Amino acid sequence: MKLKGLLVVFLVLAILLPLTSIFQSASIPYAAFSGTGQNTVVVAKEDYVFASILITVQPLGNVSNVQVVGGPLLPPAITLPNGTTLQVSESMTFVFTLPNTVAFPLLQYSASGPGYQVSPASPVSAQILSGQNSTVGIPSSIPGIHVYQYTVTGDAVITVHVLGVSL
Amino acid sequence: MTEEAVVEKVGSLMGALDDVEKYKELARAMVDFTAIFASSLVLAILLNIVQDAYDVAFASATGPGSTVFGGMPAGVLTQFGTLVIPLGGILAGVWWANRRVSRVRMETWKETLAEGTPGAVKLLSGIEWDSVLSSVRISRVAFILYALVKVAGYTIFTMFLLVFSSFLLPVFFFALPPAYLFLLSLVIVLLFTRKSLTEGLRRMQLLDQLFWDLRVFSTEFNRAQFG
Repeated sequence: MKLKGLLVVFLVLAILLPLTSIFQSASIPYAAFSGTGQNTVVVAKEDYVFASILITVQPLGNVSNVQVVGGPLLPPAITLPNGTTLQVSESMTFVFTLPNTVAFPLLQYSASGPGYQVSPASPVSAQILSGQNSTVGIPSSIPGIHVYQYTVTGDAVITVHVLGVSL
Repeated sequence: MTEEAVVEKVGSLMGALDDVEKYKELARAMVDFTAIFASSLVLAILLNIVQDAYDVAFASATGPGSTVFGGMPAGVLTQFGTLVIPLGGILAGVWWANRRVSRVRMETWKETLAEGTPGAVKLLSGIEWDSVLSSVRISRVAFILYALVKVAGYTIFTMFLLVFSSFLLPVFFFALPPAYLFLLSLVIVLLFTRKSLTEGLRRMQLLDQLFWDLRVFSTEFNRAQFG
């Protein structure tokens, strides 16, 4: 009886251990941008990954001990993938849910390019690209992979966390 | 051989058999120990899975902390729990095994042996030699397995400890490949438990010695009975 109980515990352990690897994360903990005009947060994920993105935009004007020379501070704004632009006057965290479009995928894809690098081993990625033309070359559609672009203009400190789970 | 010498020899034999009984109980308690430790691992993993699931579902960033399992950063409480729960499992398992072993009734033969030679002969006649020899064999295996499970438990705990130490100190343990981390943890555990391992080896040798002594003794005793 006890041995059966022990086997059940081992079975549960064997089931739970692989489950721990279905969670992924990517983050850009603290990145300050000033005077670069446009910064784009590029988030990419496999289509079977359900993800939550947290983008915190803190205007540089609100950060103490920061001096910007060569011009006035530009108030930041964020443009979402659907084209909506939101002005950011104080530190704000934007939370976006990116649902999975596939469950239990038969095929897994890998792709990399400017601002994204996704593979079955690392199914979510987050990068910040700076400059007006930095997003040129990012395809709008890749088979099995979703790429999202959040453009932040102005002078700001940007923090990005992507938390995902493979379903 | 004088009566005192017979009583003394039978007394030391019965004492050794009491030890065998304790090790036999240890063999039974080992299943409990393994179950308790494995359950604590299940609990620690569940804690991490629940936290990860909560983080994804409610978009709660725990910050760039250490990852315990998988690729998600664990919160401070989760890290603490992942460290404490398996340690609690090991300690609870050891406590439970010791409790079971300490509950074995010892020296119940003393009253009979106090009768002198007749008592000693009565005790020797009452021993089932095949069962005793089998018990010694089981005890040896149990002792080895118990030591292995204990070392494995402490090694897993040390691995957790090394990973978490990278959270507190700028050291490289977290960047080590798992195989190296395991080896390093094993070496640390073996260094810290070398005294108890040496003592265990000594007991193993004693059990080996006892096994052969008992074999010889049982053969001679049975021959004497038939004679």
